[in-house]
Amino acid sequence: MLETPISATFPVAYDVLNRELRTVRQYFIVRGIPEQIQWETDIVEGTCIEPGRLLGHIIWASAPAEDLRAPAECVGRIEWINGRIPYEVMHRRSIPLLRLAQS
Amino acid sequence: MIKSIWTLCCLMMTAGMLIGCARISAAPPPLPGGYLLPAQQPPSQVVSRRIVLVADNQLHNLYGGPVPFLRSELANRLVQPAIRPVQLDFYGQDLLRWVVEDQGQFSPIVHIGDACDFACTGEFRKFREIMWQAKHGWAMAPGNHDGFFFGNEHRDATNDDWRAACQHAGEPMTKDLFVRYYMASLVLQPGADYRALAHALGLSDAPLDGADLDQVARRIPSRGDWRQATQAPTERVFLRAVSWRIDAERPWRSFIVQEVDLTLDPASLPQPSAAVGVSAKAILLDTTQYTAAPTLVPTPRTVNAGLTGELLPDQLAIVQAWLQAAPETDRAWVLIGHHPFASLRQAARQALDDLRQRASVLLYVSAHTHAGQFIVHDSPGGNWLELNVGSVLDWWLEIRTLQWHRAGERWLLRSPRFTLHDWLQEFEGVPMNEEAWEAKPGKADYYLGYEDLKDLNAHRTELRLKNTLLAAHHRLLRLNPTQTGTSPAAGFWPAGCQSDEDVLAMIDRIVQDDRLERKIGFLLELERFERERPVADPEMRRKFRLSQAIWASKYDSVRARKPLVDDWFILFPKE
Repeated sequence: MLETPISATFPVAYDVLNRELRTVRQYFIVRGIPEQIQWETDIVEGTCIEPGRLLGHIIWASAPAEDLRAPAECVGRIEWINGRIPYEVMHRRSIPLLRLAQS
Repeated sequence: MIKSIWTLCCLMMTAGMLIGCARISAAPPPLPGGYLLPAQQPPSQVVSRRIVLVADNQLHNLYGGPVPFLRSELANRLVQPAIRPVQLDFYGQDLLRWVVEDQGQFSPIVHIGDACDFACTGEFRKFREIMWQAKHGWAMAPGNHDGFFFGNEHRDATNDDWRAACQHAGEPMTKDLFVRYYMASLVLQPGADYRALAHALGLSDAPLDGADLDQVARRIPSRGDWRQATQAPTERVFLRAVSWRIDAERPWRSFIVQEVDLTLDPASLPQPSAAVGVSAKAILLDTTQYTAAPTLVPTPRTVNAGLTGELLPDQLAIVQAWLQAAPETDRAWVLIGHHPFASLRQAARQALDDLRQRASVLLYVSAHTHAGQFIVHDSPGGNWLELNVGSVLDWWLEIRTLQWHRAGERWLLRSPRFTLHDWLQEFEGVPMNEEAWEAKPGKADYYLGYEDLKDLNAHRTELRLKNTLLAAHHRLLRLNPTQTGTSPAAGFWPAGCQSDEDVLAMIDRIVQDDRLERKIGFLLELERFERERPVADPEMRRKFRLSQAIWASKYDSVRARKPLVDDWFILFPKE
């Protein structure tokens, strides 16, 4: 179940059921695919995060970098960060970016 | 005939020598310990744009006449694929089109050569129409099939065999003509960088958007050196520099070398950024520039362009000057050429190795083998890495992307490999396990119907191939009918036909007709018909076409309809 509505407004949504922060396909269909999602240096496995926390930046080829913040209900300890993000297919499917540990 | 037998003997000896060499070759050198191969991306910052690497689509003129010896089953077993399944030749370019439309909407594309097959201007024209869909620009390094007859040798443009191969597809595209056509395709691209090139050549006066490729090709000067000096304020620059020489007297000496800019704009990055001061570029070399005219059978003075690549001093001097003129900043530079390093002539290998070391080039990227791989080379300065990109047409239907990152003090290459059949299955539902879609053994359009040709007679070979193609059209039309309610008088129907039933009956009659020209003439009509007719379900036809290309490529790779090692499911026959 995705907490944030699926729309072109937000690049990511939090899947409460699976505790996964995932990309929103529709957003990247509209914006194109980024060059990189660059995590903040303190965003590593084991870090505790909460809604609004700056997680990293979405880097575009032809536009200023965009802040990536934890959405509503995305609270907990990071259990896993995706180290093989397939940017090339972000317009094709939703990609899990990180997963939070079970509280 | 005697000449053919002598040629055959020489080819068999060459093939034997190559096989022998492969058997006694030593284990490949290892990658030095300083390189690491992490399974996950380490903390890093992107410093270059992502480019899409694609190669060896081998766009083939389906409507050529017989080509003695080279288009026979025997040649197919001795040299690079001389005959592919007709479905692969007919539908295969849909794969390239899919890549260009899907990935080309986000990133620039670098094609690493062998866009064409016979080397005909008509093949290049069709290729350019596909690449036109790239929204962020494209550039290519020439391959041996882009200026030499069937990728092997130079022949005069008046040569009967080459003209027969290029029948209904323009004219033989000798290397000098390739440079002209490719330059014209650069000039006609819409980006600011390409428009600047057109302006520098005095070609910006023409309404280039609608200009004819042939007309622009004729206006390309026989030599030139162009560099986009400054970043355009509103548009990104991809093509940074191009130098070319067109030698009509000795076409094999003609070349084109290009510099493409992959540098990210630091202003668009979060600060501090590792990309500040980084110069990310790729130089697209022309490894099909030869001292002497390439020949089918190599001699002490000549090489076969399909076996060996070469770079001559005039091209190398330009690249050296570009590298020396570049500011001494952090360099994430790549050299890209069609031939693998090991296939270059000794002098070219030395020159390229020298360039690589002096300019701290990180990687050499090649194609040509059709089977992607990483290759490690030993060198007195330390072992180094070559990335060889597989074919987008021949199995495994491969593309890659390439991008540089900084991981602390180290360069990080991100270059995932993607196989199109996996993508098309996941994203497009292709293939859809439609049993009726596939040409089974015993059917007239069975993919490898020509495998049992074993025929040196090129005319008989072409007759059978054309019949297989006609049968493929039969299946295409049967399963993807024309929209109901279309007028029998509509202009898209082939002559003498007013319905799908008429067309199917006509195909059956033409198959029985032994005149090759009659078959070719009707196949040309069928191609136009296919392009123009409205179908009942366009989406299904798109998937049908892609599935035909996938299956033909897959079965061609194992020369029969059989499972590949990574097939998950096999449905057995009814008991």
